[in-house]
Amino acid sequence: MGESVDVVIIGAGASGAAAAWSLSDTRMHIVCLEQGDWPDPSRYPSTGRDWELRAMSDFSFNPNQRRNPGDYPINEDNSPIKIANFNGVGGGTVLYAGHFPRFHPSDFRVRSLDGVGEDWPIDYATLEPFYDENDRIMGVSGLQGDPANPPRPERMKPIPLGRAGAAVARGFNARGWHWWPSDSAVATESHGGRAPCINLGHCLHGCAQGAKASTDITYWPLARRAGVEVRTRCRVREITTNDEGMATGVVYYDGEGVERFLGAEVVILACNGIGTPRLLLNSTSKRFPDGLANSSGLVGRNLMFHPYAYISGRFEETLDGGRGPSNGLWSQEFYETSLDRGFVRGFTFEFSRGQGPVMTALSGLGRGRLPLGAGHHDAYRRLHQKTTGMVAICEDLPELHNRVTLDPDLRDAHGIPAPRIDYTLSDNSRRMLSFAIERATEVLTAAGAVEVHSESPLAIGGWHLMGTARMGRDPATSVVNEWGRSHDVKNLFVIDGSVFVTSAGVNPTSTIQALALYVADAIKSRLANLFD
Amino acid sequence: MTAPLSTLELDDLRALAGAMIPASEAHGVPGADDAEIFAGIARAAGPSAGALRRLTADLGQAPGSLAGMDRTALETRLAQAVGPDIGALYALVLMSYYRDDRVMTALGLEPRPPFPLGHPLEDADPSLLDPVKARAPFWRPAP
Repeated sequence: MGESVDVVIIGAGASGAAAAWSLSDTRMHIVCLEQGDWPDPSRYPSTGRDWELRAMSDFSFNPNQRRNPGDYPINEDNSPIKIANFNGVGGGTVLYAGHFPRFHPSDFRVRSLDGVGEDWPIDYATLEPFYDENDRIMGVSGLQGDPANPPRPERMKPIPLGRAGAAVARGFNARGWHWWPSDSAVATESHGGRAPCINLGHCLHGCAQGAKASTDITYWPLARRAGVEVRTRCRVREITTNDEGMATGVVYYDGEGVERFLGAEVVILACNGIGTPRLLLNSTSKRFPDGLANSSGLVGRNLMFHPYAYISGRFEETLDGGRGPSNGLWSQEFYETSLDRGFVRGFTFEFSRGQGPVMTALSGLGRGRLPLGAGHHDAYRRLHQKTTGMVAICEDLPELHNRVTLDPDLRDAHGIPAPRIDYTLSDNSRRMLSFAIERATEVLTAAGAVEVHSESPLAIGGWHLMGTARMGRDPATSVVNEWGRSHDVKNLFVIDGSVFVTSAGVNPTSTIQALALYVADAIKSRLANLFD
Repeated sequence: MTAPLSTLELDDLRALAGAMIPASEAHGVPGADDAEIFAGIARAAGPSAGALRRLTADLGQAPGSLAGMDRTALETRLAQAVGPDIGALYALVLMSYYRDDRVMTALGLEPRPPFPLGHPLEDADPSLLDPVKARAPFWRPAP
């Protein structure tokens, strides 16, 4: 008889941590298996002189470039947008910027309002208390009163705009367009034992100060104190099932590479929009020959990123360079559908502050702004601390052909089939990106930029992985039900971005975590008849 | 596996680095061929060995001969070079150069990592937000 627990959670990132904390008050025996390790903030890049270089090596967003022991390879050759993730306790929250917007109420009714995508089986009001609870645990800075969003609870004071943010804000004001200090999971005051932000400027590669809310320092200390066990360097190969079609546990490789079985009454998948379909597709059996929970054929389909455009302006005045969080303000002037723009749905502009000395040089080189030889130094000084801009984060629509499958050849270090991504940018996204670049150029020019550069779609920008095991009431058109339980396997739950029905035009982390808390709450409220 | 750079090839790389980023009295900065900066470039050069060899061949030179070229002629040849090899070598040089204490100081930066001291960041004039505060809520209600 092997080891058995009540609940196994696969993945210790944004959603796995939130669900573990919420479920811990049931006093069930809960184990979380994480293929990566605990991050060590004392070794984050910003603690050393090579901080900008390590952002391109062991702290790169891209697992194929990073190649840490906890990573698995991804065949992304057939996608113009490359995958960004982090495999370790904290997951993507270790390397995210800390943008913490919420979906809008309209984002849950895309089909009804705009005739595209599908409506969600839940609405904003259902998630709102979980958004609030998540904000409390993660710690959010911002400002109440944003006219583009429903009311928010009280927050810590906003991140300072700095010179760069003020310049961009002036540009939006000159156009008469909305902007607002953004909701950010960066503590600007002491919060839950975390020190406030001191403007390291390297949020995207691990916050050594601990001001940015990653779940290794927010949810996990709370969940572990309540008895949840986290086992790192444990990579799950497959979810096992019995003749009744119920999940019985997982087969995984421990840190020494030894194959083990962990039995569980409930299996919760929290592996992100790539890892979750990969594991489901790898969990085949006589009863589930096409992969687990896949009677709809939708596991891995409807993959959504957020196509990004990056628009930067060069100014004559000295701005912030790489000092300070990259975020600080957003604009949702073009968030809702207006068909005269030539596309449906919309996007958010998010301020992107500036760059450190090495990245200034490399991006200047890449954009043809930094020559070799005698003219180098003068050209560099025209760029140094004089660029700022924004990204446009565009809503992606679900399309069946955008998908995650198993690569026929590629394997990870344990010999487990690796995922393959097939993704095509839609015409709607292309039109939206072009529109966003035109508007951002107007903003930056109005702000005083003497030169504007854009990149679209941002190839490195596959940060948001959504839609590949979507929720819904109809088992024929969805993978999990309206509270995250598989239609096919009644003790299997999915709580990461895979369950998204549509992507909205905002960063997904706060919604992923609100959904995880909501599903955990649904489990707790149904414990007596959870498998009915 | 790419063979490590020979002494002659390191001489070539140093000549290239100096041509890419020459010293500047006006800006008070050393060139990328400065001994200390180049030591960092050489330590990181392993993965770029192939690029250096191809570039040297493309320039029609034998290993070790770039170091003997006239600086202006070398700059001219480099300016005409295109493709991933020159890009890789330029990136290699930039990544070491812009970490040097003297270069950072000349740029007005403190030569230290961001943590633990962090950086000051100015608060903006709060009245910037006044026109936006004056707007009525415009988020879209959902059925």
